[in-house]
Amino acid sequence: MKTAELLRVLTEPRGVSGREKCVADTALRLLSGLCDSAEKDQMGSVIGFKKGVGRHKRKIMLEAHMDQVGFLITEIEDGGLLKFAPVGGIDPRILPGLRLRIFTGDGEVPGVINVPEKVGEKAPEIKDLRIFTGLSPEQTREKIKPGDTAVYDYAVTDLKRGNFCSGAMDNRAGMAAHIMALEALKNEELYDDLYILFSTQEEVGLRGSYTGAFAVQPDLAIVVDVTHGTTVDSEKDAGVFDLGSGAVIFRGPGVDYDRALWLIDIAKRGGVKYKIEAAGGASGTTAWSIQTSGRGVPALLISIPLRYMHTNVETLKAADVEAVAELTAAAVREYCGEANDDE
Amino acid sequence: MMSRPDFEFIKKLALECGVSGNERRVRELIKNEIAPFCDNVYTDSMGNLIAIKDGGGGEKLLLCAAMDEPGFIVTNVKEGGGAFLSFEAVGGIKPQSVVSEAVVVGDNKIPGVISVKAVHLTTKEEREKPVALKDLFIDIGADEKSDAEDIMPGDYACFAGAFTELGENALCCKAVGSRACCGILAALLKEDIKNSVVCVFTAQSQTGQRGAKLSFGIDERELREAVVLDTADDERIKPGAGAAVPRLVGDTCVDERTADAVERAAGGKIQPLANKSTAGDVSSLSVRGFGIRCAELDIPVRNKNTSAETADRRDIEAAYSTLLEYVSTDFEK
Repeated sequence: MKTAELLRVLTEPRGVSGREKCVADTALRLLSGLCDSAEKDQMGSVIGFKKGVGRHKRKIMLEAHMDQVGFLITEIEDGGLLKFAPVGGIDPRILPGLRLRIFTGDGEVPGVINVPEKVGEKAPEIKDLRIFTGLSPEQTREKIKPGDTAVYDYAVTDLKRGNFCSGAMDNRAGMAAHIMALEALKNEELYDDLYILFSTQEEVGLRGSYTGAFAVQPDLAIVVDVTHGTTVDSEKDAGVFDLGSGAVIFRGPGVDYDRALWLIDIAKRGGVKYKIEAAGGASGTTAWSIQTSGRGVPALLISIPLRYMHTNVETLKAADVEAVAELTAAAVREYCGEANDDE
Repeated sequence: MMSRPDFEFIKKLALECGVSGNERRVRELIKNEIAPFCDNVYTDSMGNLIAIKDGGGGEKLLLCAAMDEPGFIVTNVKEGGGAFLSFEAVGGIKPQSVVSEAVVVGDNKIPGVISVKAVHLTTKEEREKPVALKDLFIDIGADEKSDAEDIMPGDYACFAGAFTELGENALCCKAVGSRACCGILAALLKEDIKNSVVCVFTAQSQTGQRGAKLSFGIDERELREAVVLDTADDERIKPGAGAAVPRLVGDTCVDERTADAVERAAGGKIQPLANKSTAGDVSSLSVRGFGIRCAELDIPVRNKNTSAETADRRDIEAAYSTLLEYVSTDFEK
């Protein structure tokens, strides 16, 4: 599948943290032709398995979270307007005027976040905003319950130069990279066992990755997530990467020191476009949680530059996703090549 | 009344781009829709579309609705980490509604988005500060300046437009209110009416009711009076409860006789609204030439001038019925 098409397929299902079922279903469908088996765990995470052929085989795990930021309906006002809370980090300034899809027990209801008329010194906070659905107060109470989730309404838009815009690129783009790496490895006999973990609830505390990584207990984990893409208002920020940077390889306490150097070397030798991102603390990704899972996991983090993270218009370059997939596949091959059957 | 406005046409109008000063596409849609039903249709130098339908008797009435919508105009291209378009607002854009919106740029409708850096990179102070348009850019995915060569300063950008029906009656789309007004006039022109009507679809209402300042090639002394169809986002009027006939529009007192005639045509089914805070085409029209007796009929809207403007189908139908009744009146000479 072409990258753009894969991004379309993966961003279409809505899966706010804790309600990832439709994303999981899509993931299971995509993995079915690429893995020997795939199933869901207790937390709703998807774990795929491609059996290795080696005698002393190890376990490599490719991981990407599959949930997305969104909203929780918290209260129905007398007039039928809805109060809501964010699920994951959301800048309230983006919200006025946005269209939402509300997922109820009884199907989907479209809504819009009303635009506050008067804005004073302070930008409106989420608690000041309301969702309008056009339903009467009675219809609203009948259909919508506090606890229902809502997500941005969006579709993939083609911008110039192979750049694409959509909601949920964080982190369906990471999932797409793994699927593409698997496609590249599809007809290869790998020495080691290969696991794919698409974890739940990353945006609310990396939660699905704890249980998923514990179940697999890999010898190496390669996490793909998004990092910040350069915009005019972030140009001077550190840790921001131009679209087109290729694979952004993370270095710091959040990943394995030697393996990160190893990965940089693979990128160099393979001619894969890359940049290095360094951070002294938490990377804010599942690499951080996977590292300390079970007896401990050497983890790597490869990121895709993404503008306007956690909005409905997250923007990335398809070529960066492809570079990440290429690097991941190369790393898997290299790791399998380390095997020594004479041990 | 059996006849009603064509909501499919209103949707088509709402989705089309017509930022003030560049109303051509909307004008063409309306022109093609109404031309077979009119005696004369023409466009003036400002871009107002004038449609004349002779009733063969009775009085000559002027009806107006604005074609234009607020939007953006490209001012420059800024390079750094990609190439981004700087812009200014055209018309009544609300900065608080612009972030994370999809737009289309220029006559070829090149897709772009406007947003702010990731929440992770912002400070609490930044998030609490209302956004200023000067700090925002349109991202068309250009990696460098040359990718934006097909865009020039002065090209317009327009909200990309998405039409959503909310509940049973609410319609949500950019410009849906004013385009509903245009749709109502277009539907009226298809009716057999004994009075003569001049329908003007005005340009540049958003930039100071400028289109309505022109003569339209009409001697106002031939006109009995004028009714402007517009929208109002006043919280005192409720969507779904009918249209309103304000007595004061901005600083303009409407003519009591005309306003009464419109209210009578509504059969009293109007929402009371003494004054509307913003100016409208009546402000220009009433003092044009020798002056025209004017009143305004307003459809309630919410989120006015944003990509998520909402209007209520019932109010659009009510305004249509009222106007149809009004233009069918046997006026006393």
